[in-house]
Amino acid sequence: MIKATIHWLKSQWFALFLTVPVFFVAFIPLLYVIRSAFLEERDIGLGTAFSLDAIHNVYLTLDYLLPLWNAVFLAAIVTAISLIVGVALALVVARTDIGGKPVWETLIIMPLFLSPFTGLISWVALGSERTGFINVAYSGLLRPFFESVPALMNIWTFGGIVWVMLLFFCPYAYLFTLGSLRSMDVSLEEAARASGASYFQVLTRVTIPLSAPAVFASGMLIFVLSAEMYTIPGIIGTPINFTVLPWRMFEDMTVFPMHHAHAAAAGTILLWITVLGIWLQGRFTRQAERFVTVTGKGFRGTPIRLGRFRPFVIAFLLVFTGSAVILPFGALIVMSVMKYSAPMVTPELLTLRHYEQLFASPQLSRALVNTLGLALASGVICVGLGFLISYRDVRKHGIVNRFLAFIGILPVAVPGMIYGVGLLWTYSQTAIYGTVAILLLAYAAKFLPYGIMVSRTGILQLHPDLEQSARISGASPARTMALITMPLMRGTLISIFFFVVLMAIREMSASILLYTNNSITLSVLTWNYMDAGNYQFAAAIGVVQTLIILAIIVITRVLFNVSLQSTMGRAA
Amino acid sequence: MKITLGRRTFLRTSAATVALTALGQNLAAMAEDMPPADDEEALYKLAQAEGGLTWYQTNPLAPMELVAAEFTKKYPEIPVSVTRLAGPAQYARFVQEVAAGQHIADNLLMGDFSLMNALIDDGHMASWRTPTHDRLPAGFTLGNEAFCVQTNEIALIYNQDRLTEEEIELLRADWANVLDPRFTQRFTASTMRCGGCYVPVHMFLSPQYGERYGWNFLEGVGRQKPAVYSDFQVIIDRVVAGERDFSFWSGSGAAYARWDSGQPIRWLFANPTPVWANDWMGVSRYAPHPASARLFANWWASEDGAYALQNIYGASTVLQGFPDQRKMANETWFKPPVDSFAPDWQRWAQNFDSDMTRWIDILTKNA
Repeated sequence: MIKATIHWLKSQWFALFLTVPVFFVAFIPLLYVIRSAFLEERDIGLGTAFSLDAIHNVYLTLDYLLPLWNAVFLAAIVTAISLIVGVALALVVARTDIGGKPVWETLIIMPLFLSPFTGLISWVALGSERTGFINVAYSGLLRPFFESVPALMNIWTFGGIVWVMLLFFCPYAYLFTLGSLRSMDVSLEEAARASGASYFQVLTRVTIPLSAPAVFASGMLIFVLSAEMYTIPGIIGTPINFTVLPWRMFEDMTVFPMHHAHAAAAGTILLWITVLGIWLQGRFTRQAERFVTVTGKGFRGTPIRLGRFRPFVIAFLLVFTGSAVILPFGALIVMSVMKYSAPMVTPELLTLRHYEQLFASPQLSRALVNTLGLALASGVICVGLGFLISYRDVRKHGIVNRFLAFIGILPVAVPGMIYGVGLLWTYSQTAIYGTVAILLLAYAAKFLPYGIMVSRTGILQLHPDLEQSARISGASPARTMALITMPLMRGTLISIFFFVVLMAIREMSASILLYTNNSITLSVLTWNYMDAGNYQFAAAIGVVQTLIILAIIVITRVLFNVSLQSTMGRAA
Repeated sequence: MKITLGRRTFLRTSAATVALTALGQNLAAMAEDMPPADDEEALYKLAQAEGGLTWYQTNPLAPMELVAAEFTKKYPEIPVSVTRLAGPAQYARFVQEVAAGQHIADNLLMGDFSLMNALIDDGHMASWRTPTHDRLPAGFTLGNEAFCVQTNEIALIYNQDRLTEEEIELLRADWANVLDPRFTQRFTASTMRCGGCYVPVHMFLSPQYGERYGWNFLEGVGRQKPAVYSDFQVIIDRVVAGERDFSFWSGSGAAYARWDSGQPIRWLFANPTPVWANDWMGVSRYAPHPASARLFANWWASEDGAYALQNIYGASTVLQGFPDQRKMANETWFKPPVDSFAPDWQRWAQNFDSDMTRWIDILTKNA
């Protein structure tokens, strides 16, 4: 018995070694959150006595079940439309003879550069009923011909919530599907074509079914991220009597009288949704092993000729990139040089003072250094830990490895704000409190799930035969990993790194709770000015933030010869 | 679940707790050695040795940084690190830090009377009577632990290009005139929950004004189909943009900085006007820079502080004997409140949650 235990411990030492940091960073804060759901509440904080009031109210009353239903309903709609649009975009880029692919590839992923909250501010300027730039322009065009011109769009509606959210989530579906399409064994599609199948039949019977695991994975990610989003549905939805659970949690956390236990209990509901999603994804990706491809050589088949459909496809690309990129980024730039919000841009409204103030602010340089440092460090951590955890889960199996992968993914379930509170409670008595280090822990835990999930898909696409051959030839496991697995996954690992860097640069909800003046980030700075109603100044920070991300892409291309938009496409 | 605490862990935790408690006591002891409040020179000398201070405050960051910079201008070598933490978030953060022995904040500025009161009751605020303590009106001090130097006046903020003089006078005369059909769909309202969001509701339902206004009036406001937004700043921004013509109440302070920077808005005080003590300042009992914190509190309550608050933030200061020097005080459009209403804090605490829930329901069901 003892010998068997020692043997087991020896065989699992590395997994156990990995479990320790993941447990303390990703899991313990969640335990704190769950525990607080069972505490009594006072008007301004939590007591110490045990209470089931919060659990009862959250799980059994319409006060919370209705917002839960709204969140799930909204997430389902956003996920469905994002998948349709994202998969269509990926098919156009990966399988057709559309021209200018590098440009489209860059434009389609650009919404990822903007935080959804900043994007919302842009869309308020664009799509407000009476003063939105779009409605004013539309009205100006038609007024000579009609007595009254109804608004073309109103962002302050349920449709507005869906619109803004899906523009930000389509790139996820696009990236996952694109990666799958590019690594797919093209001989299957060519065989179908040789057997007389039409392009449409090949797409619907071979290409899309083979991409199903990646599409499902992206769908799950979009669903979870939409279900936990509180800013866009909260700010637009609350006034139209559409309250989602994450916004209810935000109010419970920030509005007097505070309901911390209720917010924590509501967080556990989102946790169950994610646990279910992880379980479903696990089942689905296990089936994906049937579609394993070792190629890594990319798509070499004949692209589909668009022929007479070309104008329609170009129109589709223009509508998407116009709505998701050109309009919001354009509005952001315009806002950043306006003195105040107005329906028309006139010369006397233009100013550069927001940029002058921004660059004169000592907080900007601090926020820049903190943001970049945190983004790069969390990228490295999530790539390293995510790859190791997924590798062991996929290749070694075993209960410790599965548990490790499971707890590593859990933080994706809990909104950043709730997770931030857990982290605050966990580490408030340590020396890292009030420093950048606690933010790094938050980022690492929050983005590790992406490292695990994306590298898992990448590892699944590598047949174990390659590694087994290396092992038979005498290579150690570490050497095999270093010389075989990692080089083959280079694109996936680079894409995880940049994906985490992008997410970290935009992270706001946990940062707001954990920052101090010394650890302020660009997102917190943006929030501070937005919260104070200085949207033009916040827009200037948004422009700077976007330029930084663009600079990272250019530098990566020049220094490492890595095309970020392409490698990110290979990630899934 | 049974949790076993190891001996070593127990000893380490105990040691840490003792150390943190000792640190807290040391800070409190240091605070007791402070010179008298009116010995500015001695206080400044001590503050210079400490360096800067950290200020947790509830107001918009940009103007408060400018106000703090005025303090540093007067007292070089004492920079103020300003952290914006609104409402309960500031309370929660401070209490959490105190519990963990992380003493970061020196001064607190809280918008909510009850939250500051709770901190005082729990012994977290230092006793410090500023030299101008007696120049603050009754109701603007909480013992020697906290004080308020400004009032919050509820106003209707309007786009100067969208309301006629007649309409402005109509709205100024009585809140009830907002029910006039000419104002249908012309104003904004907010579903935000905060002190400034609640105080007019509290007034409309008060024994004094309940019969004149009451829930019937608020239901009528809902039927006027205001454009409803989740945040006070958004409703003002939408008025600036011209999406709607005026906001159905905001704090006048929120409009001042915008007006001062040339945005096309002004504000009027509908009669009666809710006016109450807002922004409670206090010194943390555990302030890591106790002399700097006290010097800052003194300055905040002084004429220099009042001047900075008036001119940078547009605050209506209450320091007796100090004139209103705000830029708009001499503008022809600006008319101060006629009849003011002060909240009943006991009724406020009892009804805040239920009243706000019903008011938000009225707004959203008509949206």
